[in-house]
Amino acid sequence: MNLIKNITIKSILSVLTIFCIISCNSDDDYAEINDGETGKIQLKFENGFDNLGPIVLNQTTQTSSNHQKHKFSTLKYIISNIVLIDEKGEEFRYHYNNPDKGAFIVNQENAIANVVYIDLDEIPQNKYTKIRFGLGINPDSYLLGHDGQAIFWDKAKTEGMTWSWATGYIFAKLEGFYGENSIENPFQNHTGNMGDALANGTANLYREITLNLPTTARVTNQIKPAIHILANLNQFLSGENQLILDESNQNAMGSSEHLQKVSDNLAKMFRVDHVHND
Amino acid sequence: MMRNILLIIFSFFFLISCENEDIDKGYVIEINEKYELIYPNNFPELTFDTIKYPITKNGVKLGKMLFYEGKLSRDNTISCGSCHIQEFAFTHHGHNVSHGIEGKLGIRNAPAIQNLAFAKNFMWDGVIHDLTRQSLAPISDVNEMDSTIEEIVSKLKKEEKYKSSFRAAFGSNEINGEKILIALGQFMAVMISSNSKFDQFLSGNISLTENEQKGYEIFQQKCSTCHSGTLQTDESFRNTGHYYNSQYADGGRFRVTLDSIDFMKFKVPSLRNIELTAPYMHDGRYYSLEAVLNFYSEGVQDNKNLDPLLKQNGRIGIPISNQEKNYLLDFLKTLTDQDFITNKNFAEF
Repeated sequence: MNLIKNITIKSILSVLTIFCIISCNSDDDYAEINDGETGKIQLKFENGFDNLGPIVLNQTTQTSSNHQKHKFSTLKYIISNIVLIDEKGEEFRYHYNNPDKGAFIVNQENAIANVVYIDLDEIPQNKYTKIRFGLGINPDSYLLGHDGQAIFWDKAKTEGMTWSWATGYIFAKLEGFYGENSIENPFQNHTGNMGDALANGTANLYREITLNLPTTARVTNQIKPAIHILANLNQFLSGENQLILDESNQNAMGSSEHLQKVSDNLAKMFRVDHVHND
Repeated sequence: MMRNILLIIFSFFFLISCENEDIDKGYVIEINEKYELIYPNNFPELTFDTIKYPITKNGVKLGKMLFYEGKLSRDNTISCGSCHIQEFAFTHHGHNVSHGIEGKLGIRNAPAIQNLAFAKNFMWDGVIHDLTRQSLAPISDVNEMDSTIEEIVSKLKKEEKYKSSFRAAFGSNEINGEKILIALGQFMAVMISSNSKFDQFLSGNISLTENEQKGYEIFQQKCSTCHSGTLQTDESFRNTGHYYNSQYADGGRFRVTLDSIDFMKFKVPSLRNIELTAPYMHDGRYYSLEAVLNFYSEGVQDNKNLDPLLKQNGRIGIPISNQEKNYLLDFLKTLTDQDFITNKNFAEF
């Protein structure tokens, strides 16, 4: 009798243990990184003025460090060559130099509650601590020719982010109005390389930006991290190059000295505000 | 052996039946003591109707359970506490507008939940006048919790803890919408923030620093017509020269009255714990208090409904110097109430 009793207790215990293990496992799954498997990640771009608020086109008005009031009517830029870097410094390159799959346009017109979303899939499961991306299109990508990036070229063309092929892509398109008191002078600053910058002997405005993540982005079967990136457009006129809009540069297209300074300023505008792991 | 197995099987049935059937097991009803609202003498008159809705300890306890209950939303993921987070004076810190179920977005910045027992109306447009009805709005909004009272009642009925809690709060097992709303109303009514540095100053216990004092004086001259009284609101609706944000298509008080004179009028918010509740305004359009002050001094846009207080002496906006702004910020930070944001009685865990 005692033996049977023991067996009964043992079998109840083992059933309980199995249940326990099963439930433990399902908890682990949530955060478990499976080598060789992929997951998803989301980039959230919020364009704003750091000391003011998110940018609403034609509305949000900022004063530059040189006391120029300005607001945007158009605000678009190209993001490409996204690289995720893990704790060991190893890099995952997302469709590197492949604009058809790896380039995106952040267009403030498409902002939902001031955020523009970019969804990336087939990301190796891992814990990522840094992100790097390009502002504009890498000259090496451009050398793939039109056939090598026809899909993105068409997309960019529809969005007004191209000149002709010989001239190339518009990397950042900033348009709006400025003034000292009333804000009525229009400006159009379009940055971009003049075609094959190396062959043409013109400046290369493509910039790569590396950002640290304040918390690790953990890609698993269950977790699709969202990396919330703030772009501080104060950098446009009030960055390391303090710029004054005037008749000489209010309509600037290409890679002039003014637009090189704009590009250097914009390259410093990004920071990761937070990461959601859910 | 056989006896043991039978016993185990029998007790399993017993357990299952307990969970599934609504048997009144004749529990002794817990004594439901009155909850005394404690607040300073200089607070406005209570607006919460404690005769119609007597506040009880068990009612508040149930209200808190419901406040943090995800089952109030259609997919069980969003509780009231998701967007009203205690550390930030029950706002959705860092979010310009609230996020509801399935990542949907609302159109407004989640307001602070504090001192609502003294408010005459609720929401940025004042559409609701009774705190016990307030919760219906986020519960039913398709972009917030997207649920219905019927759905919530049927979910809560399945949980033993709610049977006993409803019994403790209202004297019977029955769970219904009216009780849910009243319990939530009771919980929100007791969320009183009254121990900021400013409160201690008003009660004569401490003095303000020189800069805070200067800020207080500037505040009284330039802000307190609208932000009046101990809670810094006259509860009026005003057009403060903010642009219409077409992303959200929100005309403010106009949504309630459909009178064009109310277009872009929003309720003057209390400034309690304002340091903690960024971003600011009905759609979270400012990241910081500095940006808010800069708006009032430089950014106000004239329009036909602009509040007359914002166009005095031929000037649009409120003249505030940079030095005055610094003093004002020092003063505004005295409105932060650490006791409130760390009070265990309001905390989820």
